[in-house]
Amino acid sequence: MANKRRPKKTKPPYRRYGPGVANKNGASENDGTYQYGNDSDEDEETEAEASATTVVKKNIDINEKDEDSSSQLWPISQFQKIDVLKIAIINEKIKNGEIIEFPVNFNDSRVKTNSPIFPIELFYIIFKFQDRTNPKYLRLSKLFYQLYSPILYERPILDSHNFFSFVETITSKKKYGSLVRFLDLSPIIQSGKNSYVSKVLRRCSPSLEVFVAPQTSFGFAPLVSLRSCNKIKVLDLGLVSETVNLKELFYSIRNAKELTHLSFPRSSISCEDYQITEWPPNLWYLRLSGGITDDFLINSKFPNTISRLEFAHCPQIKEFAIYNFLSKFGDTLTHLSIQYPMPGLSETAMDFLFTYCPNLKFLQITVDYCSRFLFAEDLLPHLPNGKERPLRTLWIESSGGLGQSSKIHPDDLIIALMENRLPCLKNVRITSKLGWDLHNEDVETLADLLEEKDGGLFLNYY
Amino acid sequence: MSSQLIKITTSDEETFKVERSIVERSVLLKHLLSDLEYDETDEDAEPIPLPNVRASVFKKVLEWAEHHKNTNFPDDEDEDARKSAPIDEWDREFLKVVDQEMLYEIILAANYLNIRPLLDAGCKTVAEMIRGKSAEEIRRTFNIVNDFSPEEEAAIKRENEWAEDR
Repeated sequence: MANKRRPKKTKPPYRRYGPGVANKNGASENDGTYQYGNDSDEDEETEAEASATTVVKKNIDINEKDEDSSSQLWPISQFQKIDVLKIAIINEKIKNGEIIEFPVNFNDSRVKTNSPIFPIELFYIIFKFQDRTNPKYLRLSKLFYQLYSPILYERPILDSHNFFSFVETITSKKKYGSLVRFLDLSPIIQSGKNSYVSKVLRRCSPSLEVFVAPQTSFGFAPLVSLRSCNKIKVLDLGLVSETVNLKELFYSIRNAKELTHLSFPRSSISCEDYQITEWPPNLWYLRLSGGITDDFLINSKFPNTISRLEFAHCPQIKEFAIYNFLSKFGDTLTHLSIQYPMPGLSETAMDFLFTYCPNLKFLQITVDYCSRFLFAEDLLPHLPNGKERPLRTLWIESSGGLGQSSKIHPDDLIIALMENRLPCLKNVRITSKLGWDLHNEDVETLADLLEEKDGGLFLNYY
Repeated sequence: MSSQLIKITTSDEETFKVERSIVERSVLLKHLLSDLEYDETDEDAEPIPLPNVRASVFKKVLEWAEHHKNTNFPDDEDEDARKSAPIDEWDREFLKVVDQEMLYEIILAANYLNIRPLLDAGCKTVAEMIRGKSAEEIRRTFNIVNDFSPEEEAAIKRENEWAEDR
């Protein structure tokens, strides 16, 4: 039995969502309610067909509205934006030969006034030419936000004042972290935390290429976070004062196939199980420092790609280990630095350098570990087959200790130059601690010789 | 000797006759001339149209090219080197005396004609110009419409406070 008290189903007013509706039923245009699935669809279709011409007019209105409501961001195309879907729907109902004209006014003052003066690539160059980054450029408009975010975050300038707020920002918005390519935390002294450094490394890992570790707060957790930095090219742990386990370090960088620069921590490194270490395959710059041992230097399987090598702060390294290393890799080295302090070396330990490294272009030597014989004919001979020794730049450093000032004399270099045993040498940098008198005739002669080769003798005061 | 010059017509239909060495400061025109095998000795040769550059702007570009006719600019693709190189003194004076509208048009012309040293000098001048300006002043200068809501703008400011000048 039918329930007569139940109200009859009412037919909801159908409103077609598409072209032609507005003109057919202008009154309902603004009511904002419509429903799908009504069976009077076919009737509507015929009416829509009849009003094909008005549809075109309506379409123009929509396009005008679109222009108003479209983003005012530059660049605004000078072509009219066309709703492809609408055209596709009404196209077959347009009579043959009828031309639809969309009113495009190229002299429209709005188009001119709303476009920025330059195309976006020029703004990019202008921002790149700024001395310092500034977040105000992010706030210019949404387009500039997209343009400037990579510039601002590419190389963040951090210190102990803004480090925490930087960490907060990249923690709350992951997108920012992935824009960082260079991260220098060396100014963060005694104000970081292991967890913060670790978090920063994790967030920045997708694009990070250069990382300079802070002096403190670089313990086990940041080392673990390093594992995700697969694009890293330069890893500078030179400042790290906490003991870094070499095995852990190599485990962390095992995926960093693009790593080319590696600096060991200067203060301390624990150096066990070095046999299983796997060196990055593309490494060409290596700075050895800290607690590395002679055994490590002799037995570890260094890659053949190393062309720049620096020794500094290695208290355990002895002369024979260095020469053993140089006998294997000396030929490929183009840059070599032996920096003070290396307490394991004797005062003439490095006299034989040139015999092991014939292809050096740059040498930084500390006078504490060599003598005048470094430039003597026996230890600095002409290269075989008439080949020129390529050394162009020589830095002579000194600790300034007693007795160091008399070890190398300008004459030693002058003779080597006159005998054409250093034919490419152009620039010599000496330290004031070397004790050379600049008004001395020998020093002046050396300077003249170098200036003749378009180089010079340079003096520094530290 | 006028037959040895290259004819160039600007957007406002003014025709210039310019030496090839000066024209070739523009990479665009240099490639165009070589692609077209342009013969400047041919008196009937069609002038090269420059639809995007006005005559007054082109005159200034020519003045710059004339001065740098014999300058060897380093062919440096390195962005850092381009950034760190200071603006040439003559260029600085040259761009300082023109008004702002003309400066912008010179930059646009240098971009279109692909004259990188002039473009760099112009962009560096603008970079110096906007250094001390507020966001609102920069918007006004470059005709940029702010499409952020005040809340969005405040949020961006808050997020990036770490990079503010201290």
